[in-house]
Amino acid sequence: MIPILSAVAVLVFFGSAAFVLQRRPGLSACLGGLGPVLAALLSWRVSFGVLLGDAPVWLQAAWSMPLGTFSVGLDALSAFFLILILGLSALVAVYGIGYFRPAAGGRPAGGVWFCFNILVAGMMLVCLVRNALLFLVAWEIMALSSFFLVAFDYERDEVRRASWTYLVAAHLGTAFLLPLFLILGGPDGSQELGAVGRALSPGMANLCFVLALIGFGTKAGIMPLHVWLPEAHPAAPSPVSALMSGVMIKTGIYGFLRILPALGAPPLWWGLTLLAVGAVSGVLGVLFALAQHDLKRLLAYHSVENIGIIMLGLGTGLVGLSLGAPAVAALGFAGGLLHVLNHALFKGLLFLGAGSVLHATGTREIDRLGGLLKKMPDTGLVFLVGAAAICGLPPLNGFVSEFLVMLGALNGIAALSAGPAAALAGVMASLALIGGLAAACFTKAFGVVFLGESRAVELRAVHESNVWMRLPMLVLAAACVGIGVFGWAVVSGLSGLVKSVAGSAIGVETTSALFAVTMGAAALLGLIGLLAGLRRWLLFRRPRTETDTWGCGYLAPSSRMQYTASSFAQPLADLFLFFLRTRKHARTPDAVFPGASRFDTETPDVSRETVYRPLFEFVAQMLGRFRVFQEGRIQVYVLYIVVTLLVLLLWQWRRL
Amino acid sequence: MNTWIEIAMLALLLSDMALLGLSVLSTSIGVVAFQGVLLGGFALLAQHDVLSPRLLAIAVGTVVLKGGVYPYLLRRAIQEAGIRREIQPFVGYVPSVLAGVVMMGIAVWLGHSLPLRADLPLVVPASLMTLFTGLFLVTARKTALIQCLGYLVLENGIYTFGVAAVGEIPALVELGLLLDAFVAVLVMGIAIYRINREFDHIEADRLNVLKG
Amino acid sequence: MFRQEWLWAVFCLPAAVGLLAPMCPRPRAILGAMLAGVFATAFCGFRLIGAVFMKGPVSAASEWLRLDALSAWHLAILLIVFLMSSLYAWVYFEEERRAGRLSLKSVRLFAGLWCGALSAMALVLISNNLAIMWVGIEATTLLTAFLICVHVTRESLEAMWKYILICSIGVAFAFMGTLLAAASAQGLEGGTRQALLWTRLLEGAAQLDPRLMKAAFLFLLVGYGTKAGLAPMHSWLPDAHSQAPAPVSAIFSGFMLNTALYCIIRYVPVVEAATGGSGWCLRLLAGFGVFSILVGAAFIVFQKDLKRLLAYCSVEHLGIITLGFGLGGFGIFAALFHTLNHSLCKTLSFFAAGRLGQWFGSHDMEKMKGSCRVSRVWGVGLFGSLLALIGVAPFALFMSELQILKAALDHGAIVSLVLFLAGAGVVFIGMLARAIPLMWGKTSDAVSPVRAQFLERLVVAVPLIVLLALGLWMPLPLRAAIEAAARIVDPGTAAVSSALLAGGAP
Repeated sequence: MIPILSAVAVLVFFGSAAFVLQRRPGLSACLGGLGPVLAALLSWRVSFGVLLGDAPVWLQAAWSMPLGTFSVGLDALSAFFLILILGLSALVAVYGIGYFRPAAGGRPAGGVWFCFNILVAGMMLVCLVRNALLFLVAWEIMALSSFFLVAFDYERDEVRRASWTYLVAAHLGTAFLLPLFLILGGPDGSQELGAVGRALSPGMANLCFVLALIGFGTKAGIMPLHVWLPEAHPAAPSPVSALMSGVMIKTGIYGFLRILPALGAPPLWWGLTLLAVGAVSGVLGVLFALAQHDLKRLLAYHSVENIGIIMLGLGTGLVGLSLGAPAVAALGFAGGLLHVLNHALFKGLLFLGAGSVLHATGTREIDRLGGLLKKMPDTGLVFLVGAAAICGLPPLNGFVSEFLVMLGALNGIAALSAGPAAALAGVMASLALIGGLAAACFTKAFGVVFLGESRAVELRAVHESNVWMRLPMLVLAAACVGIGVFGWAVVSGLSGLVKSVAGSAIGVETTSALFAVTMGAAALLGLIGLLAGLRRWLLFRRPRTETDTWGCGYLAPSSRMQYTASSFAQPLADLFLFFLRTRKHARTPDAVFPGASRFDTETPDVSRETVYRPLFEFVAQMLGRFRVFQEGRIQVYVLYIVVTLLVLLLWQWRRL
Repeated sequence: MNTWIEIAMLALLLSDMALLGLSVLSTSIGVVAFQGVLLGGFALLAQHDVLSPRLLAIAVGTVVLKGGVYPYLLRRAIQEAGIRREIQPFVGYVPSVLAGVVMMGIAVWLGHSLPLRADLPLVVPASLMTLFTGLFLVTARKTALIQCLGYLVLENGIYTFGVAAVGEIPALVELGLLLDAFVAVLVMGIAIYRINREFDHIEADRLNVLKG
Repeated sequence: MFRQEWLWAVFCLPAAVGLLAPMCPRPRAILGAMLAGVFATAFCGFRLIGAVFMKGPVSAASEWLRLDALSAWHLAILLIVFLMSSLYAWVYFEEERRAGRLSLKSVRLFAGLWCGALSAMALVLISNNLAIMWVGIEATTLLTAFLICVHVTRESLEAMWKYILICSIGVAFAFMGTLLAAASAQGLEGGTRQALLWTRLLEGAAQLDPRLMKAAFLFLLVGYGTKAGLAPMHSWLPDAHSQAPAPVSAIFSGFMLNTALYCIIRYVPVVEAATGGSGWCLRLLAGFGVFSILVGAAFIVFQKDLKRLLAYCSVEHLGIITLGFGLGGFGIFAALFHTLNHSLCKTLSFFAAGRLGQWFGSHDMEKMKGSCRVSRVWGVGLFGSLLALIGVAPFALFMSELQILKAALDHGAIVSLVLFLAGAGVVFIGMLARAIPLMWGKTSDAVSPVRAQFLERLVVAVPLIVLLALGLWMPLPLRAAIEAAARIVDPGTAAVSSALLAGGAP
């Protein structure tokens, strides 16, 4: 336990040092970036050891706070998330050294480094602590530090609004967790998470499940509770978005999994609820992503989608658990957990890539970009890898986890009775739909941003990112490929974790199936590579010319004739107009010699527009009516007192 | 002895009704002064033991303060403000008197259900009635001065109740209470004076800028 | 050694300073004398408090003055609030004087009344006689009334009038309650002459007349509740807080409300014992607490004036504290802890509101945007204290609110728990929506950045750091002190709470 706790201390120390020394930007950035890297180095051995089968570590000390003890522990589940958090944080921190180089006269980034380190420390603590009180403190420290990170660019109006949305969502989520943890506390007042709490009645267990789903789901970003994601991620600096989307939202999943055993045997409807939530988040998330024009907003909606996939996995596992089908449970949980890891890798990579684009061009508007591949080949390449991975294409990592969930669902359809089987068939259908739509979405994102010709942004000013920024992205891309190719090995490595969560391990036939599929895909890809090499060899030293894209005979092509993000997504978006409520602003060409015409779309978040905003406004309006009770007349005020007294006296008269 | 107390209580009740029906400020102040004197006498009568110096001091203090000093302060405030009567109260004078009758009913009912001083059936109802009257004046009139007066009447009611229900309280405490009431009236007087100087009126009803 | 003399000193010293300080010739000298007086009082007070927690209650004047753990805890908070506010007043009035908004006469009035208020509040806490306690409360009202209109404006006069009248009437009800309590004790040995001593009342609580005691408690609850700002008797509070100069608002919210609540709490063990431990008065307290939380939350949403917003926030927090007391057992511990946290935090936010208001020339939140650009120190102070007030961890208020939730759950008070969470949620949303523009919004061009003095940095940093530290770590002596205070309110459940406090073994 000592190395891990000292890693937390290192983070706090380096963060503070970076803050204190912010007058010297170079030193401050190095210190701030060094913190997560050192923390990762300090704790990787222990964490991997526990994940791969060492005995869990446990430490308890007194804490003077009532109800609290300082108890921390590391088991396979914690270790898995800890590795994820520290790995991505270290890479993002290195990226941040390059990203946060202050422009001349700009604001010093000491505060950012402080919050960054504290955020990482908070996430570590969330995964480590075993006392409810301490958990909530760590949970809130995490929320608060990331709030300040989101608000980093506070000069802009929308950033301030986004930071408000974010902290409100985070805190309201916590408000659901408070009663949950208090209910789970032991009868003697202890609040240990691991300890067996009071035996819950079924009603109480159901209540706890709902509270946990809402509380942790808000952090994770499941569909109706996701509103903060598309606001906060674009507002935050890109490394922060990568960290938040990559690992912070996963702490919601962690918390859910941590609480689940304490609730007792799961009834079937829990699993079905998770499946429904997962399907809705997944499908609607990707649909909304398709309709966005802001690169980071698009990625944020993809986070919702991927949380949906994770939920589908967990739901499948839970259905298996409640119906006593160990193979289904193992496959579902394994898929969900592995997708947590995979999403952290490729979403971190994609956000970092988007950050590089933003850093180089100064805009996140997809429709203003284009042709960046010529100037930013490395960034473009890794972005492509990430995009392919998130679409679930073999032999990349996204495929592995989705494959496991699919297998779990298939297993369940074969083994279970008609009702749950139908639900699991729904899982397969939604996974397929999600995959297809995600592919369309990233074709659009990658195609419009990196391919074609430049649009509003002048390519001449664009530069490839510096080495601090490129290196972490390359590492992440390599990890995506690595897990994709060696998925069978990773899955067997996670067997201990899966066994601890699902109660049963994954069979050998699964890994071998996975091996076969991955190898087939790798072989196909290798063949394509071989053909490309052959073409290159054949063309070697022969004269070649490069021309513009063929304009179908039109002689004066301009970059404005390319597909835009709106027009690319339009057919699909029209298909799902019922969900998306896209607003179109179009002036179509109408005469023989048409004037200027334009087409653009805007897709605000439906749940924000139709649920939260009206609800908040309604509440504010209702509360505004209370004004009449405080209208300034002293006589009325005195009357309040008298009436209160009389009411009390009359009410209590019989009891007096 | 008890007969005298009953008579004093009747007078107190009547003065309450008078306060509800009167509109001229100086007369109201006179009625409150009368109540003060009444209470001083009541304090003397209510104790069964012999006339102790403590009791005498309190009675004299009551009469001087409630019967002399407060009315003097309030009269001065009237002169400063230059008003003679309340023009438009929230509740008119006839309805006020009717409300007074209702309040008297409630007071009698309440007084009989509280287990206090069964030997003096009028004391608790009269004290409660005085208390209600004070509250009524505070809430149903507009002039700040009458509100101050209402507060005094309220204090009178509580004082009567205290003497009736508790009897013996250490002299120091009682003097402290009297002193507090004195300062309260003083502070209210100064406040009215300042309000009048700043606003040119002392209608509490028009002090309603702060709201929400 | 001189414990009895210390007890007298806590009350007499500020009174004397209050009389003498205004005689100084120059404003600085007056404020300096006032500051010295407050420091000297704090010195005596803390010696005394230390003695109480180490050796047990101190009493003087044949039991008329008495300081036990409960009052010592409150006295400690009172002294802290007054120390901070006096230091701040030094800075605040310096600026006012420079701007020509303050005459020598006003400074004299302020210094005299300020020390007088300290003395009166100390009297409330150290008196064992319930009637003297009432005298102290009434004196507090009267002494602080003119503090509201140190700056004479129409609004401040209006606020003062409302404050005097409403609080006087409320406190008159409390007197009625005191009388009823005394009446219920007529069967007691020693008669009513002794009955108003709290210790006697508690000893003989079983012989009190329960009906009269209950009626007394209703009057006391409404009466002192008016002064404590419990809804729906709170109507004077936003007016007075918004119009008073910032140091005065700070002591109003920081401690005067708690003083009145303290008076109610004093009666709780007596009423409980007289009614056979039925929890009757606790339920009433919890009801008022929840109602205050809801009313505070509802009114916070549409406030435009920063100090009014803070005033409604005080209504909410006093509601939380009252709810904690009303839950009994562990809730009392949490409520006492919350009292300290809230006082520290609210004083700081009023300081910041006042200081920033001096530069912006207004307390309108539309005009006060972007305070961190005007003054980094005060901007951070305001934002930090607002965040703490709305219950963001790791500030100590989060902890105490969590403990109150725990108490509610253990007590089975699910409705209270849900309503508390709902109210806190509304407050969070509403106040955060104000706090973010206040901190970061676009500043109007008229205001130029100001540098803060060292003293100001101190006044901002100390409360924030203490709140942060208390949120993460509670020193054991502090915990023991709060436990001792809680045991006085509710001796029966001390065992339960200490079991809770021990923290669970795995």
